[in-house]
Amino acid sequence: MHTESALSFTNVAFSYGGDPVLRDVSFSVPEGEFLVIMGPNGGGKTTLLKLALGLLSPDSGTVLIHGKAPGEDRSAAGYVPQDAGRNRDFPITALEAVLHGRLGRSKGFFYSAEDTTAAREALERMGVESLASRPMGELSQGQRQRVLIARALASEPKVLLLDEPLASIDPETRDMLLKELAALRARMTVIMVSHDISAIPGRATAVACVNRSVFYHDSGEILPGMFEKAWGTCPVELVAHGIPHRVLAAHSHDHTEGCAHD
Amino acid sequence: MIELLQFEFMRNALWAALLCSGLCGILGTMVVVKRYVILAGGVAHAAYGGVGIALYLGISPQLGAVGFSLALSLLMAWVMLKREARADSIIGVLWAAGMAAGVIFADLTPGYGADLMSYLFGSILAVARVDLFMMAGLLAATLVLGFVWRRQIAAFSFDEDFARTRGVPVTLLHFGVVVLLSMAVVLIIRIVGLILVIALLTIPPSVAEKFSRSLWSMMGISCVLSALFSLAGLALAVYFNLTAGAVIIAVASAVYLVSLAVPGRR
Repeated sequence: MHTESALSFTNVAFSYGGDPVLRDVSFSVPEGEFLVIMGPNGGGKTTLLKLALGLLSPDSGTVLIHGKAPGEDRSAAGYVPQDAGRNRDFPITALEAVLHGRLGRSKGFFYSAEDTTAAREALERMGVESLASRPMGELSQGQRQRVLIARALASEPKVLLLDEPLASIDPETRDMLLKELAALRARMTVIMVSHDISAIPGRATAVACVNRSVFYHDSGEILPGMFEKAWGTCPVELVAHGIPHRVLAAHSHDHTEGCAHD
Repeated sequence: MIELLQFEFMRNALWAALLCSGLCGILGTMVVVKRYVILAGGVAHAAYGGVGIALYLGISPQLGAVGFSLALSLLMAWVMLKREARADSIIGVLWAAGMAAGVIFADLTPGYGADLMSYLFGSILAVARVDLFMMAGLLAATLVLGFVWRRQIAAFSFDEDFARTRGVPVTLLHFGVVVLLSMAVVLIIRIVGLILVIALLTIPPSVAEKFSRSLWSMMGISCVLSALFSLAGLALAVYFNLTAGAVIIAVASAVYLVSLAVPGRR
């Protein structure tokens, strides 16, 4: 028996209001990877994540998370949405927010002692247990992000899916957060959408470049010298397919199509 | 002032104010945190369409208002759920169209002089017992459903996408809240009027949010504030012989302005 893949897309297409967002997407993420999903704005990164979570359904093709349809097994995926500061005034403490991660696991009428313990442990793992009774609105961006990751961890997922967790966080916090995410790999597959190319070296074990299509590389090796050049032009071209080619093997796809600027 | 309570209409007015406060405190909190303000306004105005159509057809205006509001509110809720980029514009159109339909059908009804003012400001001093029982029933239903689903409601209110990934029936909760809200709006309009219902749904929770640590304390504080505004407004209205609904709004708005200056303490 071969090891099942944590996440697999097979010939997936998705369009929004008639505009194709993703087409002919096929890739498979083995268990235990730290996959960073990159690509230009509007290239379909968040769509990819929402398809994996079952928040969106593909027009055609199949998405499987640990061999099951997204949403079928509630313990499969833990979601950390992009936190753009929306709902900042919502009255909720950090602990209660993390308890929401237990929904779908605990079937009872109340949160059990076990739920509370799991929520506190998740806060502790993210180093924010001291903030448990603080309102979310009073936390800094970095603290909020940690609580939202703890909320996903409280559901004890097999795959953690994060949407831009490093956005609007100061560089110091960012590095610590990256280290903590990389450490989670021992327990689960980590899939992170990020704009930040420097998140890849030394942490990522795989990189997916998304721009309508997905180009999957089962290696996280990228030369540091390439990052400066990368932004401002298509990151897919420069980071993954740029010279020197010894960094990453060439695609079987036609990558001029993948990097179409339109 | 106390001797006024020997009159049944005054006691009914007090009960109506308290029941309104309960409904507005709980559902108004959902209106504020879920940004349903335009939907609540739309339902409140559209209810007048139902009244006009009911008058024209010769059926009970209350029934017409409930049916028409419910139908339009489900349509509005569906538009919001689809995340239609122009959802607010579409609701704005439904809002105006519903109201216009009410006026036109009232015009077409022979012998009916459209009493728009009582619809705008209600008549809290002419509340019937049956209205009180219906409000009490709706409040009880809201409390029971809210308690049973409280964890799911909190997750749905805080972060809809995450709640969906945890198996929370987000669509069902969205429509459920909208149905309860539109029923409440229709019942409350008869008593305090269209303008006051929107004020009572939005002002107390907006003040309460600053001082709340949870959705439930926000609901509780909103209910208390709403009751205080209503009772104070009612007393001032009786004392100075002013329109009750307008005085209640004046009190609520004044407190809201003051609260803007007070730093939040959670």
